[in-house]
Amino acid sequence: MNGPHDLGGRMGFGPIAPEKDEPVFHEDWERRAMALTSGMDSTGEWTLDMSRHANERIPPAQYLSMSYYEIWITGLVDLITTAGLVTNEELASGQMMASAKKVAGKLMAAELASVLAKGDPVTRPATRPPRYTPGDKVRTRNMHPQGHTRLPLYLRGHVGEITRLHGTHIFPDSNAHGRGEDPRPLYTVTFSAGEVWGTARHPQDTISADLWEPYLEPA
Amino acid sequence: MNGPQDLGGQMGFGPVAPEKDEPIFHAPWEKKALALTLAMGATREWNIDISRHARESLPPAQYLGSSYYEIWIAGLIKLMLAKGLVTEAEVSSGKMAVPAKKVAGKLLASNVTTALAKGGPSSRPDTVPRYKMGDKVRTRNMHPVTHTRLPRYLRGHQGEIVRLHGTHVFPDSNAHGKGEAPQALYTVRFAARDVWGEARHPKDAVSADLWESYLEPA
Repeated sequence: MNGPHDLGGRMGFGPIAPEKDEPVFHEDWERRAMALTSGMDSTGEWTLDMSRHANERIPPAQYLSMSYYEIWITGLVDLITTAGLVTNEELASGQMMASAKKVAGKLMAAELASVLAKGDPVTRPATRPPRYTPGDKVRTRNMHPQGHTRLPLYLRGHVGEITRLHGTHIFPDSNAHGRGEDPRPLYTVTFSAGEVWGTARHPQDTISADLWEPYLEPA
Repeated sequence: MNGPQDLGGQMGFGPVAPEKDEPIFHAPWEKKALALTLAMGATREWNIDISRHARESLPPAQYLGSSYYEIWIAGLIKLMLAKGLVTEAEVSSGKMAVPAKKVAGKLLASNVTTALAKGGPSSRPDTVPRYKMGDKVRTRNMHPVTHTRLPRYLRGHQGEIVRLHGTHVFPDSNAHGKGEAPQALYTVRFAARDVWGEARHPKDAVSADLWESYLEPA
């Protein structure tokens, strides 16, 4: 979706102010927000792509006013409510009122380090040969789906070159909507900055993005 | 600029909820906001394009969290501060603290009806247009950090000239005090499918009034 998260090329936010000795967490609740989100992800009630879509669906004025972990918590509330893991009354009271729903997975404190180290790989066995090889010229599709996509607005309808094949990966546009993993080849595509923005500070400036095969057409 | 005002194609705002018997103003202060904005425009310290840019350059979270007249007032305060017509301290206290600056124009209550009826025409003596009806053009893929009336969703697309409106003040120049630089203004029609990649109906079209320098021959 062309949501508030899709910030490439958007202006008016003012300069970035890097923070000296930036702490990992700015407040104690942020630590908890991260732990809660990781813990709840282990229930298996949603996928990584569903949780990203929950975040990007936050109304734009609210999204752009929020800090990083405020967005995480707001997205998590959306997910646990939709999955029936919590009711609005429970959220308002902070007290458990309905009996706990049985979930497929549970993150135990003792397993935390190994689970985090393992991560959650999105590579899958190839189901078909990749359509493109490095050096191929491709054009990104001019698409504007209402659903989740990893093709940013500023890279649509532009010609680039395949510079790397990453193998076959879960297709987020499908996985974010419970339509299965539908694994597809994933490529790095390199665009000249002049092609993307109309002008470039330096003629050799480029932009590279990791894009799934369905985003591309032969150019 | 690719600012928060450029909403074409942006999603996630929820449905539009039309208001039954919508009043012209939702609160008495809105009436005042409109009057103040028009009256301050009469000082000729800025032009309409400068005031549009003052609004679109508000921080995106603030802009999208503001109502229509909240945006007007926030833009007006920026302009008055920039032109030295008011100080930060005066805005917060609501009291005049420094002597009034002399301005070129003043809107008197007795002139309001005439001034509003007259409007602020942006047409200028004709120049020779580069394009004619039926010409195929392509909009430029441009991303100025300054004011433009070419929305982002219409950049880099092919369309057809369907009307010539004569010569008009060029907002991209006029918004930055670089003069009116008048140029030809056209209505350009695009197939919805070219703009959005797909269309509900093959004949759906999007038309926009675009200045000549936004266009290249296609």
